[in-house]
Amino acid sequence: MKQSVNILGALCGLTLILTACQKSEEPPVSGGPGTQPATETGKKADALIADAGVIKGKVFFEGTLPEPQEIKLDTGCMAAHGNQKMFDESLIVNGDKTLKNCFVYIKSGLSETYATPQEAFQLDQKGCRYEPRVFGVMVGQTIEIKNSDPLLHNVRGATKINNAFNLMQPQQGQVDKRAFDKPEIMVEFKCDVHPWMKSWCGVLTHPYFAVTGEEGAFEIGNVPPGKYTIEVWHETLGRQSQEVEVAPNGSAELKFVYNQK
Amino acid sequence: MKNGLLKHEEPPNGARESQGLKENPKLRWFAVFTAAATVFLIAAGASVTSTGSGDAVPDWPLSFGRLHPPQMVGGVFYEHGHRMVAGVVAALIAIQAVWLWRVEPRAWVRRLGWIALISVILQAVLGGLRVLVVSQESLQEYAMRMAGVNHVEPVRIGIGVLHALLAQIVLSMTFIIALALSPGWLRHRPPKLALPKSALKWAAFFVVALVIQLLVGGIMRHSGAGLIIPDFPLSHGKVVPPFNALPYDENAAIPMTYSELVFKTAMNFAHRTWAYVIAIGFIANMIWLARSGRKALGSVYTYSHVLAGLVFVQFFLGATTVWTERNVWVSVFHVATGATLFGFTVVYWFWCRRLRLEASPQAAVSPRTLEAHV
Repeated sequence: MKQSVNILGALCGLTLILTACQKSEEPPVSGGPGTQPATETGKKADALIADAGVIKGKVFFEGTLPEPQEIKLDTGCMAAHGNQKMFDESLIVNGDKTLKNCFVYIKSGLSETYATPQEAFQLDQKGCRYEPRVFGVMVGQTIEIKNSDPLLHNVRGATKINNAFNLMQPQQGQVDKRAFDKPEIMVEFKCDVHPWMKSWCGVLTHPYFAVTGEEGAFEIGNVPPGKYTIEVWHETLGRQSQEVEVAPNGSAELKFVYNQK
Repeated sequence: MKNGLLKHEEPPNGARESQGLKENPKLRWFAVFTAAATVFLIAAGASVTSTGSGDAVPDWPLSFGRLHPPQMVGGVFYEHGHRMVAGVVAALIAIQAVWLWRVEPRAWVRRLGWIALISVILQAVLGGLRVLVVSQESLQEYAMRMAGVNHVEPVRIGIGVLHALLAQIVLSMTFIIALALSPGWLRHRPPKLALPKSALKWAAFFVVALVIQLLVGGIMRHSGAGLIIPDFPLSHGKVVPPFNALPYDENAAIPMTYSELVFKTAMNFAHRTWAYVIAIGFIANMIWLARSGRKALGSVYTYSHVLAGLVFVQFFLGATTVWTERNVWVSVFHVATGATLFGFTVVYWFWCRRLRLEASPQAAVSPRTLEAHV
């Protein structure tokens, strides 16, 4: 109840400052919160660790494969996509029944703190689809979001923990920068103009993550010896986790299976 | 007394004539068109929510920095289209307000014209806030701080629900203005039978019941709970959903807390349960009036049938929304029919109120009381 009253109060206040908050036209390249240079505290993400091991494995799909759903493109997107048909990418099963676009990461077991990488991550909108579909960044790491299409997009960060955002990118070649200040699994990037356009971003405090590709494989290297919980996330199939122990200079193998009846 | 209806003692003494009311067919048709356009605006708004296009245009009042966006495709078509329709309806309501101010002798109708205009402007600002609270960082931070929340989502839902609710209030005002200018209202003569007090009480109940239903429906819609109960008429295969054992996937890709699931399920269940109450109420009201006074009650009798018909269609559309897994156009029709039902219910309440005023002994001796309301 108190929260509702607060929200109503906020609305009244918002009305008053509305005009003051209007932005002028976006420059081709613009920054956002957290896009200032990364802090140097903590261990560098790419610093080699003595006795480090590796966690690798594959993610499999079992069950009946759904029919690929064709996306109805408007003429602009059809041209931008090279006049090719486009299919829904929310569930891509490779030829060997492995799964593409799974985000794999160390969920727990790490004790070190890690410095934010200086280099920005590149997220592109090309042919009315996001490239890549699934990716990971560290907290505070800049994401450069580019519109390579000759048509307009909006980029909405549909967050649950971090601040939400919604950018307009009407110009080809426009780049906007964003960063997240809290860990979150996963942030959804959406284009509300073209509702099939989605990308998912894992935001972590450490660099130990990977995304499965054409062979459904993942490899997380430079892992300090220890016991960890590894979680796999898939946008339609959900989450799974396993415990793993990494020996000094050792290699731990994992196999994840999503069973869909 | 006949079947619970009081025999009308005496007609009121010439209230209409004393106000010098004349029919103005041009203004009347303009008002009807404005009311119909407002229903269309609500349908356009529903198409924005149903297609998930509410954030397709991140700026406001411009669209991608222009009056007209460079491309009218996908979500931009729905969102900017909604803004265009809203602009037209706001212009219609503004013209109507000025027109009423110039020619309408009844103060309350003139006043309502201005209130409708102020409300539609406020409505546009709320729509803009709904967009900007996500896209403007400073505004988002301010809103979260003011609301005492740590994410913008509850604020966004709150503004969305207020926007939806105010839309219905604007709509009801356009309906009342159209009613006040209609020949039926202006040429009205008190019926032979007086309307019982309880009919007015029931009419007021229907208005309040629909406001509650619109509020719950708005919360359900804007929080994405429309299909949280996937079956109908049962709920998760039961009459009452098992709130302590709802199908919950803790490993879902997009996580939801159990309390969030319970809240959404409760909203959904409240919306469908209340729909039964409203539907039964409207149908019982129609039967009661038909048995009691029949056509002697004039417009009230007709409207009770219109409302019962609309509530039947609305109930069917609600069920079809679930059965079609929220088909966009079924959802849009559901919202538009709900708005029309609300508008006509307010009109019905107005009629009941008038008939009761005419039936009261005070009205017979003092035409002023009636003048202020008709």
